[in-house]
Amino acid sequence: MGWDSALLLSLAVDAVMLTWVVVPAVLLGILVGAIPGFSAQNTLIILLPLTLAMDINTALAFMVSLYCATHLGGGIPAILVNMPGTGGAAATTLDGYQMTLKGRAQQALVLCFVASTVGGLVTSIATVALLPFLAQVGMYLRSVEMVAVMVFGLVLIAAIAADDPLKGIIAGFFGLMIGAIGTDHIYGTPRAAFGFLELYDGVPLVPALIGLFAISEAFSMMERSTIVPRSAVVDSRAHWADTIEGLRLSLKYWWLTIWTSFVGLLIGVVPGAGASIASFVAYQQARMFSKTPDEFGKGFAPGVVAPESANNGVTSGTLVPLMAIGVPGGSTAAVMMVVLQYHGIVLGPRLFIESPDIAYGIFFSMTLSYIVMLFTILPLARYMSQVVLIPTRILVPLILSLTIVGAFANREYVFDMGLALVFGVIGYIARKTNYHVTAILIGIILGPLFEQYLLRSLRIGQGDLTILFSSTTGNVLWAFVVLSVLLPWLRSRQQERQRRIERETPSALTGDQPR
Amino acid sequence: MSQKVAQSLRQRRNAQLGADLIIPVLAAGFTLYYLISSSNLVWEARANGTVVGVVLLALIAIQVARVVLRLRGGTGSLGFGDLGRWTPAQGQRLALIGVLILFIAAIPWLGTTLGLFLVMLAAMWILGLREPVTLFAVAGGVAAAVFLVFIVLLGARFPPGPVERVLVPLLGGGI
Repeated sequence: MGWDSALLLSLAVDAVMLTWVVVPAVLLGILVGAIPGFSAQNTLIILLPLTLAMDINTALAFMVSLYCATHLGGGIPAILVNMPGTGGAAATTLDGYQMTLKGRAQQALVLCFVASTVGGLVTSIATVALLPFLAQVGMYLRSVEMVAVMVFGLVLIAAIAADDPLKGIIAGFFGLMIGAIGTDHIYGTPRAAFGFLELYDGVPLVPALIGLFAISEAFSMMERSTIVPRSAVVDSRAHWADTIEGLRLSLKYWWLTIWTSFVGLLIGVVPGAGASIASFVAYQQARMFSKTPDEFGKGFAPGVVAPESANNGVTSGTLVPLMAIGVPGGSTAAVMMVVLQYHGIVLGPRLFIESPDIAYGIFFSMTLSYIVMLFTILPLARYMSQVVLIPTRILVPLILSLTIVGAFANREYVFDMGLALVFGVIGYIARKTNYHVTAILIGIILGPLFEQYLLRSLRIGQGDLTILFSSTTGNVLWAFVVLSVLLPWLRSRQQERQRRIERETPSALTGDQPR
Repeated sequence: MSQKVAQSLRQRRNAQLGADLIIPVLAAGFTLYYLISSSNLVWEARANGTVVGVVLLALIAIQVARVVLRLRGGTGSLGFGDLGRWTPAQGQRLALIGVLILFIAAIPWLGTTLGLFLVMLAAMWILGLREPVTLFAVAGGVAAAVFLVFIVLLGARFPPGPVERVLVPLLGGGI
């Protein structure tokens, strides 16, 4: 697919015209990212009625800007109070908080902001250049391969995201099973709908999403009186000298920023791998190639730069599988998928031919949002840490009431509000017992699509299941499925053996505590 | 023995494996319901559920076997951990679920704005907020914001109640 300069120009102009929606989304995203346990997808769910009421381009610009900004915001409490606002900022605590303890909080924040914005900007531009090739890859996937791709994505999400791969895979297949509720595509006979007419069209995604993420998170949040203890907030009064020193350090580590942001982009393309993994991989890579690896963990600037640029590199990456093959790369991409589907957009390789404005426009909006971030965040830095002090006795009712109302907004059924509550309880139990809610949600989203491709394959094979193993590409993917199950299992067996050796070795009785 | 190893061992011994079985039992129950209720349909209609369901049941069987092995090895019990323990937070959680069920049942009569106001008030009260000014200001503010943004400005068709019936026509809208 060649580049159409007129299209690119019109997309750039469209993106600039959407600045009015990008600016509030960026500010809101930074705020949300700074609240631990509160994520982009939760906010998008709360604001779903708003995004569904917007036209598709405005809604996407809003969602993408908010999504990118949360990754930046997540670094703020990670640095100031040693609590990551998002999973992707967990690695930032290692050196960021140490810098704060040494009185260099402002420098750490500046490093975080610059690495985040530059990392995000570079990868969003690179993704626009790479997308046509990635979309071509999607064209070669037929129904048999798509079945394998979906199982692969689901298993990968489950195996990587969950602590226990088996639990993650059970959660994913439970989601696929829930996704099979509703009438079948050929004969229109209802299956497992519990007699509810409201489920004949399948399980609606919005209430499932609201319940599994927002309501279950609110139930978990109740266990704390405030999200962050007031005593933990460090006075982070800003001094311009610190800001300038932070900028100088950012320039010094420019190559690390670029390199680790591409690490983030690559990891983001893998469905389910997400920002948490990317930031830790980038941190590890930065330490491995550093001339002074012992400095890491002691308040070393590259320890803030690497995870922050990587977790923003992920933002472009997670949208690639969504756009190219219709499989969301993460939970926020899943929320975007819901909105795109609501507007009747069919995702997959044909999107680039039928709706190039949407396929590429999303990355133009992303680029704009990073430019906006670069100019907004530095003056706001000093006030950001205060949001973690909102009492949960106000925050929890707010989340619960607004999300339940949001569940109604999509189909205008009171039934959906009840369904959101049911999914909230399921999500809470899943969280408490380490069955990954993202895996359940991705299963529910993929369920109908999976059925469509599976049935198409089975009809070609006249009901013979071996058709699923008839293609080379498909078989390679099946091999990856097996590997992605086996490798984490082998790793946990190895750790188990290590623990047993440690237990049985006499030296362990007097040995030093491992770092 | 190092502190970390000792802690890991203690955790393994105290593992509450009953809680680990809630989701698998739920999933198995639903899968069996699916398979039984769709057993008389044509193969195309039940193919997906059967393929996914059989794999899910096999995975659940492995998880159950793991739990049984750990129980036999004495590294856990069939307890429910935090989920089964009665704590103030657990009581508040159940009360909140009750209030939300009442809110959902009553919203066709109360309407969105009044319903939201009352559910916010009740939820904050359950969570221990007692200052009347904060209670009414937050609940009123949220209900008013939803009413103005979603119902008046965006024209979302949320269930109308007394507030909407009186105010929306006054503000030039229709319900």
